[in-house]
Amino acid sequence: MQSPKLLRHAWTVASKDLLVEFRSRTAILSAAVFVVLVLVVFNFGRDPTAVSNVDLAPSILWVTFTFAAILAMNRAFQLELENQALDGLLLAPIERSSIYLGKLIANLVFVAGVELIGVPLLALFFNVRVLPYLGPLLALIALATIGFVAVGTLFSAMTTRTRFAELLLPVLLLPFMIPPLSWAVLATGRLLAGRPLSEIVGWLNMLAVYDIVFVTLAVFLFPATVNE
Amino acid sequence: MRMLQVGRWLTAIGLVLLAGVYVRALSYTPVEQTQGLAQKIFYLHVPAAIWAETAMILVGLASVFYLFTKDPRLDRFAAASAEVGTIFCVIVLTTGPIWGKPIWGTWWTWDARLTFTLFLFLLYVGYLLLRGAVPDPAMRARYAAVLGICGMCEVPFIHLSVYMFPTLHPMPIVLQPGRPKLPGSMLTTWLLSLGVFTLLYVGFVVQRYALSYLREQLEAAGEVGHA
Amino acid sequence: MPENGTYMIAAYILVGVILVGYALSLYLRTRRSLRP
Repeated sequence: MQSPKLLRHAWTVASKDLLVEFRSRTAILSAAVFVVLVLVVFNFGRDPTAVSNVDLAPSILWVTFTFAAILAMNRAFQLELENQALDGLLLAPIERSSIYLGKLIANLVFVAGVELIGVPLLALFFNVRVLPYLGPLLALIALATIGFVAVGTLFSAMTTRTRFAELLLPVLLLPFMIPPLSWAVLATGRLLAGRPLSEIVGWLNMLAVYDIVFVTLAVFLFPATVNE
Repeated sequence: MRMLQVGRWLTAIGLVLLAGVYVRALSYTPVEQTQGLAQKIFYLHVPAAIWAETAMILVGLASVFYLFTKDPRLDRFAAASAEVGTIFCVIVLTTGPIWGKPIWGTWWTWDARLTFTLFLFLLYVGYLLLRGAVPDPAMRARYAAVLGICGMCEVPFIHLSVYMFPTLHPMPIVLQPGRPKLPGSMLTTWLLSLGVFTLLYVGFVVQRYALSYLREQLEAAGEVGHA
Repeated sequence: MPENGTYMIAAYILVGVILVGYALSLYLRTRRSLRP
């Protein structure tokens, strides 16, 4: 495995996906509208007099991201089902791992796009001060997202070819999302409450470990999911 | 089929011995002073929990070796261990709250051990659902192996995440009988129960393995296997 | 000593039912697969 080649091929696969996405723009637009709707639903599903916005904001943020990410990941391999596109991709003279990495990059860009819409909307709708903590918050979101998108991309490669793809992916994925989510929620709460950065370093480290373990694992396991 | 016979005998002996454990635990083991009779639930709860966790690790290990060797026996074993592990998980998740209600005063609490078992159960259910959703046997085995390995690797992370929560929320005092210090007769009962659960695990897995084998034979013979 | 024998009996019955039930299910499923 030559790593520069691996990454270049991965980027080719990713840019192909992103180009398809960019041409149609339906998925990203639906996901954006979905995020807005979930945030609106949260506004009606709470009692503003009982719980303050800052206390609730981390949960709202992460539940929204969870749902949006699952929707996005369902799409990644669905795209390849039409016209046996996946077979064509597998026939290409590239490493299987680079297909996975490409899909991972495309999914990350997609989910990041959705999250970039979600954060300002959260600040707007729930009157949360994000700007002072924007740097650490973005780092936190990035670390948590890489972890669960890595697992989700691997699983979606399997579930798209099963009978209940849309339902099976969240069922398989949610138990794997909860460790990074629980750390992210705790850290976001600390961050938005204006606590010093040193309090969340532990969580950031754990998220980083989770990312490394599961990205590595997925790179090695992915060939087994497409090996015809 | 010899294997099936062995499995059935092991299970039958295990169930008879389970009745023996019941008699010993209920009549010949002293009652714990602070918790009363409810403490005796632990003679069933802890052995089941030990095997529920061990079964998941065995699924993961079998999956790793399956991906290297592509030996169908490993896949059959993983499927069997997952199903039996699910049953033991159900035992843990039902006896836990039954013990928790009189001791903690609530059926459910997000205590680390309880939450961990719930995660384990969800992992098992996902694994079995995935197996059920893939019709092609070779594909099913590979997919299940991938999920089994991920599940095994996730276990330490679940440990990390659930054990962080109690530091933030007050937790009811967990009395842990069956942990270090236990009077001799209680320990004997507990070890006996652990032995019986081990026997039941083996018996169940052997039978479930034989069942997978029989179904594969039927499918190979051109008949539709029963779901 | 607290009075909570009912909980204990419920748990013991439940575990018995689950284990015997699963054993029975395995027995029936294997028997059905054995029949040609």
